[in-house]
Amino acid sequence: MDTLSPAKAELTDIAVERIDRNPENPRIYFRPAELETLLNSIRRHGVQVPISVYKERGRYVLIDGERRWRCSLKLNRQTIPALVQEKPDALGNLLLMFNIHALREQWDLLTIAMKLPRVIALLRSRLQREPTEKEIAEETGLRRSEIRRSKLLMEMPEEYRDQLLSELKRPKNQQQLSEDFFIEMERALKTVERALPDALHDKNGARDVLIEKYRKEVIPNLIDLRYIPKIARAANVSADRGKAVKVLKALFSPNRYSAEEAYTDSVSEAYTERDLIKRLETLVDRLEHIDVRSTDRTFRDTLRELLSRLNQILARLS
Amino acid sequence: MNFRALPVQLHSTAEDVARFFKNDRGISKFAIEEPANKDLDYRPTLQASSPECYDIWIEVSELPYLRSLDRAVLYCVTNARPVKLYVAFPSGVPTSEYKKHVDEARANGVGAIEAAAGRCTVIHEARLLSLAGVRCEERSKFPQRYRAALSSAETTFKNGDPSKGCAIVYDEIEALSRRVAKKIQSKKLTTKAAAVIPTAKTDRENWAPLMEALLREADFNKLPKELTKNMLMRVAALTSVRNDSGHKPKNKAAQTKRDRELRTRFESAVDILRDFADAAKALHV
Repeated sequence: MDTLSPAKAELTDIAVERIDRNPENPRIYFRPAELETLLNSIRRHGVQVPISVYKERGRYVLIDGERRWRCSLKLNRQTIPALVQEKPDALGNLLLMFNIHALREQWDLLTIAMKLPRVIALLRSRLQREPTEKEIAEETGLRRSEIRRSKLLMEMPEEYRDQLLSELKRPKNQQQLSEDFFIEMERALKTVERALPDALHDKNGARDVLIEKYRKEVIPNLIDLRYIPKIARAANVSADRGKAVKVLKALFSPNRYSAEEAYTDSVSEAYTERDLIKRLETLVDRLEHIDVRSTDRTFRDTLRELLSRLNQILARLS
Repeated sequence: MNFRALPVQLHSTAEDVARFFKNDRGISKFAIEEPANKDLDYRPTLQASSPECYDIWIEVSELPYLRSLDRAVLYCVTNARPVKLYVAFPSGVPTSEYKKHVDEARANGVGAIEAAAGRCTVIHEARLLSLAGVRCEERSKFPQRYRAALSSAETTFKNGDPSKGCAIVYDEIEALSRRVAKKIQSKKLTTKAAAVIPTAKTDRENWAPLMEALLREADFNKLPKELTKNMLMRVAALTSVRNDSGHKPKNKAAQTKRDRELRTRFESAVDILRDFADAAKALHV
């Protein structure tokens, strides 16, 4: 990233009225409750950390400190301490926003997701090739997992992004559908699409049903959405593929059928069996590596006792 | 509308409430996020002037009340600024928060307007903050017969009719004066045995001559010691402002002056009623 030389920055008090917000700031929603807390702090202690701006046509454009500026305006303050920097180029401006904000504040992931395509486009034109995920992460200061999660949101159809946007307008504690819900849902549907396409003929229809079931608590938590990819990967645990298709179709239909029920009705036993076998394999592996001379009699007796119980269970099963 | 401080998710609420004031109250010219006063560290989201010579301030918020508005309220109350302050909020406030905040707004004289799908509902009206700060005595300090009237006077005053609020208290003081006059006459608590307090005979006589006659004829040595000449003079002083309802103010400065005067007048009348009722207790009127 092209950096701005701090030596060229100038600290000064500037008129609040001469400052404009940066149109490239990816942050869309400022929650009034959070602003209220900052407002009270500024009222008591003033603006303790200068904002960052650059000069343009006799006015100043914000780089960092939009909340402090908004509060100062609301508090009818005449001036605000500011670090006046050089004007960055378009990509530099955007990357500054990411590096300043995304590292320090808890941004809504969707706001990142909505600006990311522009960052990628500007990077593409600078590099003359498609930037890698690693390069995007280095330039923006985002973690690669955040970029992947942002991409999931970015790839959602517009109507679902709008639904999420309208949720984000609400205070955190009033949001019914979170970004995490949409990310879990998208991951689940992507797996179904890839592993069991027969179960998913209408992806938007499935989205609508899952959203509705989550709202009505038929799917009571986000973790339950993780049953869906497990069902879709039925073949991995040698479970009945046809049964998996059937339960997923039922799950994606408007009814009271939950993800947990679908899991229990299809692949639950197969996963339990795989889990038990894996544990036993690990156990046997470890026992094979034990030095027999170092074990005492009680240990060996206990093992024999457990083996006898296991044999009884196997006899019952057959 | 071009907002700078207001979060984007509240822009539609601000536009809804501006439309409501235009259609419902004929107020169409709003200043957006402009300073309300140079001495006050607050800019309302919207502000306008009403033809009735007071300011309308509207704060657009997620909740029906914000703690940060306390200072604006206090400023208006202390300085008798004729302002009606409203909070406009979008529907969907959780029930647990709704009542608490609406009650807080009401207690501070701040109006609450809920906006939903382009329609606005006034949850409760704003009070003129220049009047809302009137000092109100605890009603338990008064004999029971005055409590209802005092309650009504206080509500009338705060709800925007300060002259009528004062008049209700004056009515009570006048009625008490007449009962005291009749008692003094009938018990012959006068300087001369044959003294007559003419206006005490009928309730239709004027209050001022009645008080003059009382001050002239009453024998303060025979009256209960609390009912002093000074006490009756305080009551008599009210008769000159009894019917002075005041003219409709022509501008905000006149409105501030009038509200300040009426606040003082109301508070002082309530004090006199309390002291007079106390002093006359021994007469059993």
